[in-house]
Amino acid sequence: MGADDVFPAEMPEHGLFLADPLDDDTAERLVAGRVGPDDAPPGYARVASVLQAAAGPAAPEELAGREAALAMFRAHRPAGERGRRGPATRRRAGGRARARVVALALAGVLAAGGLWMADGGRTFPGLRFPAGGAGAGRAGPGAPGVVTRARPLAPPVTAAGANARAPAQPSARTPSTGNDGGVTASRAHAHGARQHRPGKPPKPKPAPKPKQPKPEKPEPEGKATPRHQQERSARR
Amino acid sequence: MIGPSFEAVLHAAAGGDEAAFGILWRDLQPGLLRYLDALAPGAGEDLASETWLRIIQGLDRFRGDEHAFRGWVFMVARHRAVDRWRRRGRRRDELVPADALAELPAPDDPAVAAVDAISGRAAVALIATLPPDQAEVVLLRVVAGLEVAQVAAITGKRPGNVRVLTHRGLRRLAGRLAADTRVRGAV
Repeated sequence: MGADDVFPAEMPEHGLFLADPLDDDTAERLVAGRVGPDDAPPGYARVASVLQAAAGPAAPEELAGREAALAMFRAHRPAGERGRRGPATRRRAGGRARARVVALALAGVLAAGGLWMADGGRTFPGLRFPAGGAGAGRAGPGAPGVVTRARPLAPPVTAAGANARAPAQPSARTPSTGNDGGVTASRAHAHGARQHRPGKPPKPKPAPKPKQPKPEKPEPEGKATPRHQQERSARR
Repeated sequence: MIGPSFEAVLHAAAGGDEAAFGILWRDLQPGLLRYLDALAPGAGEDLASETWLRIIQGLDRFRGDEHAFRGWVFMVARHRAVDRWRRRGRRRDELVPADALAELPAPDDPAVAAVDAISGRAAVALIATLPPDQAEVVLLRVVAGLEVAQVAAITGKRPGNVRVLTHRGLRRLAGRLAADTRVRGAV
């Protein structure tokens, strides 16, 4: 039974109606639309017609959505000058980015400098602590003086506090006296004392206090001045 | 194809020029519609709109020549179609169009010699009756005008595989048209 003996639509496609294979060049010319029906290899004339029609000019209904497409473009289009970035635009954008980085770095330096000046130069972590404080040689978030600037100076306070709790050893107070002012200042900073004296010139520190009647635990900063007044009156 | 003025047109469109975008749209929309209609019959318009929205949003970041631009547009279009298949939970081989042969003229029809005897969309519908892999490769090459390497990149196939699929598709298409001729001759 041959292919012509059955109803063609019932025939399987494989084998019976396959045309001859194409060589690469002919296939390329066909898909590129460069082969017309008259020039097509045997069996491919209608294929050439179909391919040319598939790549053919637009039908009116295919362009009916133009206004909608333009409206969408208006709503979402690239923002003019910011849109296409030619070399010059890219250079400008790069310059702006660099200026932004420089400005940020400058702001950071100024902020750090202002902080340092406001502290009177005492509590800048990297400059102050390694000199032999308790936190010397340590770094990182858990290191003293990094989390809280006042902490590296805490040991004298602790010692003082310990001494205060042990009045039988007043001489142990002496080595720490030189740091008391710093301790007070640091403690005050640790509690945000700068907010309470903006722009106020640093007070001249009193002379080293040889004896402090009641070196107690760190007090709230608001009580620092009365305590100094008490010290002065006690000395008198 | 827009040709030598493509770069200027693209530059203007990326800068927000509506007329320039209209040129790009006019050049690509027919092929885009035909391709998407073949991948997702009945959803070509919607998918084309989604495709253009993505193109507009990425227009100022595109770098390349006209061929690359066409490849990008059709890759975006294919992604939209694939997204739709996933949303619908369908496979693309369920979307084979029907009635594609109805518009074809019989071989003894005088109109058969005229190229425009078949509308573009009818011709695409006929190509879409091929197995999905073959149909897509042939459409991307014929309708979108893409090179083998671009089609391979878009479909995730090797260039050699694209060539093989193209050959098989053309051969099968020729067989179908011949079969249709026999059917019409028998009727």
